[in-house]
Amino acid sequence: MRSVQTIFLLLDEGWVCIDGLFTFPVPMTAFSRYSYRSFCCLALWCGAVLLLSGCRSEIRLETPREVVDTANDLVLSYKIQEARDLLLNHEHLFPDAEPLRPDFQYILSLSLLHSIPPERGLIERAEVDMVDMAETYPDHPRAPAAWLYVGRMRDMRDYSGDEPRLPEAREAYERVLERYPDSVEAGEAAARLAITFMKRTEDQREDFAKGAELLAGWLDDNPDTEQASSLSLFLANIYDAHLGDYERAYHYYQVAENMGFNNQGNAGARYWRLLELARQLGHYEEAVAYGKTVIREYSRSGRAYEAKLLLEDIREERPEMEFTIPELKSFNELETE
Amino acid sequence: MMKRFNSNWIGLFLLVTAWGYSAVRFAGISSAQALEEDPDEGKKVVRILHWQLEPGYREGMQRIIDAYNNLPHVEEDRVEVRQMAVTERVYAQFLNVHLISGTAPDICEKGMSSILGSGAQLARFFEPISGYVQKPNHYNKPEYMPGGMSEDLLEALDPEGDRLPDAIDPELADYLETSAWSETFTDGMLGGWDDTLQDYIAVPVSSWGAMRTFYNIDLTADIKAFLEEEYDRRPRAGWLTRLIEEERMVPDNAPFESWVRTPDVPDSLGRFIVFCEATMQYREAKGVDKLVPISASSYFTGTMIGNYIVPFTNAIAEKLDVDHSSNISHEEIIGGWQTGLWSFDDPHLKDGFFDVSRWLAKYYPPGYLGLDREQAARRFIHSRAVFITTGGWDASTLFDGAEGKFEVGVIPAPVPIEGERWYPYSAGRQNEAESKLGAPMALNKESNHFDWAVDFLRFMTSFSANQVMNKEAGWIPSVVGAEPVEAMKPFIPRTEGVKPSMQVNLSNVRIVDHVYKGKFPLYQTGEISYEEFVNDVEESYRSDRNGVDRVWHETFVSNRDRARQLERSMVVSRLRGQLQGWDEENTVKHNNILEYSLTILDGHSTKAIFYKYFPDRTFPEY
Repeated sequence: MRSVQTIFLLLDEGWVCIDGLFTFPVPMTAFSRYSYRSFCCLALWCGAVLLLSGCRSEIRLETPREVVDTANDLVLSYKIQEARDLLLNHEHLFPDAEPLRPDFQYILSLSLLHSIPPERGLIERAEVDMVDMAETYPDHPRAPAAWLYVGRMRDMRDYSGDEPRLPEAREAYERVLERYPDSVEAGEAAARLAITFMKRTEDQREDFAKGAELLAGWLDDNPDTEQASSLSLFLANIYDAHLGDYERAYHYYQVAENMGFNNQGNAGARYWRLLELARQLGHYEEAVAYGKTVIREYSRSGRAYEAKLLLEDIREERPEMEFTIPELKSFNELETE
Repeated sequence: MMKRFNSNWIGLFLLVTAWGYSAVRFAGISSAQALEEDPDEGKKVVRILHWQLEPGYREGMQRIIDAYNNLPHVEEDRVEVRQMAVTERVYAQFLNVHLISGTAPDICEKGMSSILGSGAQLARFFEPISGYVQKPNHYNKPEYMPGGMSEDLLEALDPEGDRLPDAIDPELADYLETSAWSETFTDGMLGGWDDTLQDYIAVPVSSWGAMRTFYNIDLTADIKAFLEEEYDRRPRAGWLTRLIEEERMVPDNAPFESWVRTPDVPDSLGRFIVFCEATMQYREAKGVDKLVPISASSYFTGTMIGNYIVPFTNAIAEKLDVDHSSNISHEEIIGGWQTGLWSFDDPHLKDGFFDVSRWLAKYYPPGYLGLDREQAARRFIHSRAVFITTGGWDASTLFDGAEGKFEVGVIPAPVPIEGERWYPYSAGRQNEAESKLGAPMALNKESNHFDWAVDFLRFMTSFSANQVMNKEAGWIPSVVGAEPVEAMKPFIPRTEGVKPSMQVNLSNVRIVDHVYKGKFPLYQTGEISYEEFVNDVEESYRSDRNGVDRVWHETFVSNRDRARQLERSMVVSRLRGQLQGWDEENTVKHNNILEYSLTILDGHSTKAIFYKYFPDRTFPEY
């Protein structure tokens, strides 16, 4: 399966690196003039590359199941181009009547979408295949994900000159929410739908309030969804950073905190923001609790020292409140946290 | 008439020769590989590639490699670990070429390479290792611990008997034996974490240590004695009077006097400047022409000013954090400048940071920008400078170099204290609580001996091996409870101080940093005035082509590309959930990536900030 991969790389340092076994410096002065000899030289070089790339071996598999499984494994290993090539080489194994055709279309579409560099032709085909899969096999377990990806293809700018098609993207997200409301993808679809209103394009001004209202409504109806903490946090950030509605921001930060912050790596910064907002909104008892959490449990957030100073300020401002301020931990104490 | 020789033929000749040589080499090695699965006499060779050529590091690593190669189960399977040290000057090219050609070593130090970056590109070549790090490290079992290991292993690891304790605290031993591998690292293995992948992608084996200022203790004592004489002289030395009364560097009070009368190193920025000026006077008085207070160079840690960005810009940064992320982005910096949230007239900058930078530069060697890292170290080692600022990675070079000549002390960069000139503008020292471990070793996906490579990394980051390697190298170990050599203890990160990401680093704002970087040294050395410096920088900020508007555009593009990278990572985590079920680990990972992805709004978070500042302007396009 290992390909012959002798690579001639023109690196930006101005060296030519020859094969994978050693690095050989060649001054690029040979190409410094646009003489016909330089072009001959380049042509010779390109010929050699083409000759060697012709030696690349291809994976040949027999059954559709093998093809789909191998492609899935390649994508799971981030070898997306290899998966794409494999699938395109075995397309003949997946006629309309083939039971694995939707799986083939799904994984092919993803591998086309995420090939590097992104190309218009590949992405247009990715959308066609994904829509076809989602419409032809609406009960396939990956149909909700397929509609979500269709929305993303329309929503994102995937290649140079690609313009987001927000109304079409909304249609795709709404399909997920209407047809598959209990799917894993529903939460993300609700958030993506909200974001389509938060983007400013030639056709629309950004409307954070509308987007936030949509997502808040969906979260109220689906409070126990798997992504509720992440979505609440996102909503809190929208109210906090973009709408300046600190009451609501505080509320949704608290919702996320009550469910447990999904990303513990950032939790310290979230507790710091809760501390700041609680103080700003006059919730001093809560501010003290959040401050203590930053110092005790998120000493590595980089905000522990400032949380200590802020608690000292609160103690000065509100002498009637009696509370102790935890000591900062030394780095050695942090090690076994 | 003689025809002029065309130099293109030289290039062509070299290309053809190189191609021929390459083809022959390739054919030879390919056929050798085809004939024999392992070209090295049936051994399973595991190679580890790194760029740490600092004194002691290779020796430390080799010691534990030898110990590992002699372990009974390793010998039995004919496994042999070998290290490959490549200079950082060609490391990126070397690694890129070998990764693409599928011939990279089994374990590679992650970094330097621009094509790898993070996210899917990284995961294409290196194996994410979440599945491994949740299990305990079996090399932390009692038979590999001090007091429990075999004589052979002890002899291999610690032949002199000075690298390992006789026994370790039973509670620590129990913690290391039973905890997940990731929990046995002092940073919870964050040094190997990739945010875009939401996965561990490398194993950090050492700590580079925090930035510190090294000083020559002997010279310091001599200069302090000289300073005391100058202080006591009546009338008092003019230079000292000027620093105290005109420049207001330090208050003329009892604590200052008591500091003057000790051999102690300066413990505040004002006293540091007084000391540097005393060094200049000492040089003149004693005729030691080559002595300078601070050994500086063009190396990225080569001047002391990097220590003062956070203290003097923290207050401005707190005003600029419009997305409340506790991080200051490029768009927050330039948007703040465009809307007047900060300016170069801000006293934190003009009278704080930039004033400090100019004072410090008076005490660097002449032409310091033409000096490199080695030259700066040499100056310090030869007692031609009292101070040098660098990271823990240079500690062994400096300690070893000074051995037998003078004693070396280590301090954190001094900050202003109350009553000093710069105190009103300083937020105090930055903390180092978020310090991550370094020397991250990633596992090549194409490794023929992947499990052995993982096994060696487990050995390398076991308590005993990690302590031995890092003590030998003079670096800080990455394993909980492992002790560094005494000299490295000052490099253990400090938790007091403000958050380091809350800073306004103008030398780091893409596109518009060129003029700043070019003019800042000229301002520091007094070749241009502050007004000229600011005029030039602001003019570059206002440039239509490459000014701050371009920064908005480029930041948007970069965030948009990042959104696609995150999307790619989510494709993989979703597919894993669809094929293997949504276990807790994959769910958390997927939701973490989702959080990042949602927050940047496909790049439109940049536009949102722009329109917040400029509701009626058109977003810049290039």
